[in-house]
Amino acid sequence: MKARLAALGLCAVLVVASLAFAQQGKSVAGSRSAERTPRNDASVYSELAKAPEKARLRPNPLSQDLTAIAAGRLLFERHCAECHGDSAEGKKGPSLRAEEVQNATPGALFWILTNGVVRRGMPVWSRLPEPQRWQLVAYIQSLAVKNISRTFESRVKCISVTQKEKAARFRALHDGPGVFVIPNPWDVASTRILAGLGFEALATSSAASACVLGLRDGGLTRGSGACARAHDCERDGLASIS
Amino acid sequence: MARCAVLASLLCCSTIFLAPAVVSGQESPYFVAYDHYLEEPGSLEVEYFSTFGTQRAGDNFHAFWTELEYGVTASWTTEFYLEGQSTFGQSTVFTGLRWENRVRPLKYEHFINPILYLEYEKKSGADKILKEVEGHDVESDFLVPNALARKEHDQEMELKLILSSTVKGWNFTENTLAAKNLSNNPWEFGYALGASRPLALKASGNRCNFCRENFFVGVEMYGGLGDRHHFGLKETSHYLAPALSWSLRSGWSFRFSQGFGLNDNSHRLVTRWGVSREISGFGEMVSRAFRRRQ
Repeated sequence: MKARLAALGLCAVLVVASLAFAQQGKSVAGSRSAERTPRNDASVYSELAKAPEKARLRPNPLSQDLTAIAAGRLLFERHCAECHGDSAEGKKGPSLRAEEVQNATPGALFWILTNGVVRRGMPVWSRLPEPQRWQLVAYIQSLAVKNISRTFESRVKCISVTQKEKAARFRALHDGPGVFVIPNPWDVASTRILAGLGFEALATSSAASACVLGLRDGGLTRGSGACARAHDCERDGLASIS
Repeated sequence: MARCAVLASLLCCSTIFLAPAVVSGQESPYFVAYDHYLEEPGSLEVEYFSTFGTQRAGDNFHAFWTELEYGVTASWTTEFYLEGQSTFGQSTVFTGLRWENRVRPLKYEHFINPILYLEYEKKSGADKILKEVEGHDVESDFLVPNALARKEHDQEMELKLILSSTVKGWNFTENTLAAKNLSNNPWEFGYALGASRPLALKASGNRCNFCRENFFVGVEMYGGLGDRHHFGLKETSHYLAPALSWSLRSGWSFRFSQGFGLNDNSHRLVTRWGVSREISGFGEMVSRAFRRRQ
């Protein structure tokens, strides 16, 4: 009889603890004003500033890995979407599309993933191996690229960008700081992936494009592939050369 | 009490199958050792584990337990266990319950991460799950028939210091254990060591169950260290167990481990397997169920 009572007592404690935790979250959110819900409470993002300088300056070693964003998206769905929302717009946890997150360095995001924000309910994610955490960082940062390209796309619809303006923009890219990197897509899919990664201009390789279709270099007609690729560049507001 | 355990198990099973929000966590392959990763806040993990042990000069046994693991906060996880065992040729008995708590005292991740562990156990002498090995636990303790062993009742507090570190995908953990029977028995000590790693460090960009990153392999070693009066390795048992875990995208996880006794005081073979499912947002579900309608 005593043992049964003990078992029931422990079950009750477990349920009460669950309730207490859930209610605590609710009352905290309830007592704050509407603009201070975790989704948009600016102080949530202050944790990013706590990343040490050395950690903040770490570059993402997978920034050039074309599969990192796709893998990061799957990891996000699996581990993060429950709190941050399916499209990272924020749920129990803050929005990852916010300016504070998108302006953070890859190193700062990696540091937050590794250390969590334990006092605010975000667990440490060092359980995920380092490359997976970098893949997550790549995905989170790609959300900004999509935002920018969407914004730019809508601008393109309103303002007609002339060939002359495109040429000027393309010329300006050569004068920017650092090395100007311009990758070569070879079909529609690679064009979209590279555009999604945030490259400001794309070039084409006639040999690679022809090779994909089983043709020799120079055997590609305008109708067989180049048009689709040019259309994609146009749609994403990218400068393109042939 | 056995009826109570059956009801609790049925409740657990229905929770697993009816839960709408399921996430798949990355499960470490350990059965005995603990690393420093706690349950996500508000998530409930429902687990079932089995241990098959060989017994020299006696009957082999199959011990089993159900575990409800709940993340109260990001730094506190609580677990409730119900356990039982079948000794072949004898009987199946309910052997007791446990309530454990793991607390993370440090705010940030460090090279070595400590976790404080506190457990209350109320079990009969027929307990055979071998969730830990402590003091002078030896194979011959299990020779007592169930009919007699179940009449002995123990209440025990167990403390552990878990020191865990993750380096280049490898997790290394060291657990030091001190247990005190709440009757007039001396403190008993034990240890567990573990190392594990996922088969792939990078995730693939495909939705797949058989991708290498879904598999963790590891090894754990555990044993007793005597008691306050006779500290050391004399008359203690020790085990070495390679282990494997597999996490599916659907939220199910499977674990398997084959343990080998390292001395004459140990069971020769201890085979373990387990299945678990994580239910995300369980705290909110409970909260919603009890929320006053507006």
